[in-house]
Amino acid sequence: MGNRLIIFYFTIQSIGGSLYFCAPAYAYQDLGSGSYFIQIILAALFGGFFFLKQYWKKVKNFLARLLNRKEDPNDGNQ
Amino acid sequence: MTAINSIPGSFRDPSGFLFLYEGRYFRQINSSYKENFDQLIQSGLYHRLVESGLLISHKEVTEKLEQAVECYKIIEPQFIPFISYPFEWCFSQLKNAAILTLEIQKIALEFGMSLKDASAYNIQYLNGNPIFIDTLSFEIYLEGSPWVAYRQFCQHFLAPLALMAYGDVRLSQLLRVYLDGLPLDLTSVLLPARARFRWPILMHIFLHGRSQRYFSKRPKTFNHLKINKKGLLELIGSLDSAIRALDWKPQKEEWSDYYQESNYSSEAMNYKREVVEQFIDRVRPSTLWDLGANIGIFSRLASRLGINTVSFDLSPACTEQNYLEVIAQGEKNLLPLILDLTNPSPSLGWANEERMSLVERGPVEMIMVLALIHHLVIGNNLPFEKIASFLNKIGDTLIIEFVPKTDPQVQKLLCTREDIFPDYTQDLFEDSFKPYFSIEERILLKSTGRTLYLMKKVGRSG
Repeated sequence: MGNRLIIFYFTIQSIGGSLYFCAPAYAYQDLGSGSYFIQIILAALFGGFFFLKQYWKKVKNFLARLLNRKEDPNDGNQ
Repeated sequence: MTAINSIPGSFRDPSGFLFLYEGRYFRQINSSYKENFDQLIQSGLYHRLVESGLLISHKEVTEKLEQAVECYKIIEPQFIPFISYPFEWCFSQLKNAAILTLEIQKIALEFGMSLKDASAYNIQYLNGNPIFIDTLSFEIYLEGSPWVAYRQFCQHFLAPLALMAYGDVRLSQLLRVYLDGLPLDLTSVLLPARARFRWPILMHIFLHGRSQRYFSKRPKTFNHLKINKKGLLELIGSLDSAIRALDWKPQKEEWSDYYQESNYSSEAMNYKREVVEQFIDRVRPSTLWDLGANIGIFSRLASRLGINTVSFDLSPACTEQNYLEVIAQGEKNLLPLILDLTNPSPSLGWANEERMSLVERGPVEMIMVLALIHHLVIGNNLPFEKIASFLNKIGDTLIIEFVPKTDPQVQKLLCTREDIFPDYTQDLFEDSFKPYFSIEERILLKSTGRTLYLMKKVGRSG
């Protein structure tokens, strides 16, 4: 399970880019390795979805502008 | 000099603790928490949360009350009339407490802070609404750090709510055993298979539980990995939609039957209401507990007079219905709670001191025990004397209804069992109560054969 999870983590990290490295912080609540691990996976996953959503919006806007431009005969004169 | 007593429920957090002094509650803030407390106030987060009714307000105290050298400040939080616990809440009370916790966390992040714990015990009900009571739960957010209270939030809120929604609403009682929230591996076993098809439940409970189990034998540090703020906000958003999607609705027959099936015509019911109102008005208590309150019809006679009223019932469906009415009407003085009177909330936690028993949260100025005595005596084999002794321990005055054996509700209880209650008589009822309460007035509710008593405590039970 460990290797699969670690491969999954790095795959997600490469998509989402939500994770990076830092120094440990003090806290009186113990998050626990298991909860910490699933949290970084999920945050990366959600961050990834958000990134893809934003990217898809940009692509859609670009295509929409492109199509509008084709339909607009005056567009080239400006 | 009056003694300063630390409150045992607040010793875990090194940032400070609660204490009682001359009947008032104070919170000491330790020097180690100075930076975080200053940020809470100076960033405007405290003001924003208090203004929105999400966080309890406090005033800083200038009197010299500090107990140790590490004292930074003493604050006096707004008073909560009755402390309730998550295992006493109905489904919607726990759900609203969860939503409140996440809302606070989202706002805190806007102000550069984060909740360092997400215990359901940090929420209380005040004026009908949930409110966050631990002013010391906020820490400065370090960009890249995870939400340290994520595990606690899943265990204290998501797991019990999922079990109540997908399994059985009575499973909230597991919170009485697991004070730091339900273990996720246990929750995974108890949840029906169909819950796995809900994406947030799969992630935050099933996979989370698996991950906890896997790393429990192979502890690893992931502190070098950071989570950016966007990812963190999305994670909190996902928890928020998971909580909001959970739903439980009581079937109408679970709560509506009682008043229709009871031995009361509408005329008799109105008369009973008048008598109860008259008794309450005569005593004018400031606090009242209604035991066996059903959906709180009689509790409201007190709460509408401005009396702080707690409306206890065994049924999660009745308590839910009662709470939904509190929300719908914007009622301020009524707190519906789930309680099995034959096994009331005990003292819990370390040294049996962290969470108070029902008795420790009393005594109260007035108790109402309406249409309940037959359930206790015939349904639970409790002698009158034991009931009188317990009520004496928790209340100063008492409104109690005696239901005779001829009543259809008593006959219903007896129809499936042998009548081993030859002593269930009104005379013995009065004789058993006399050492504990003086009878101030008794009024016969004619058409029903039932009698309402107003009694006053006379001695202390041993």
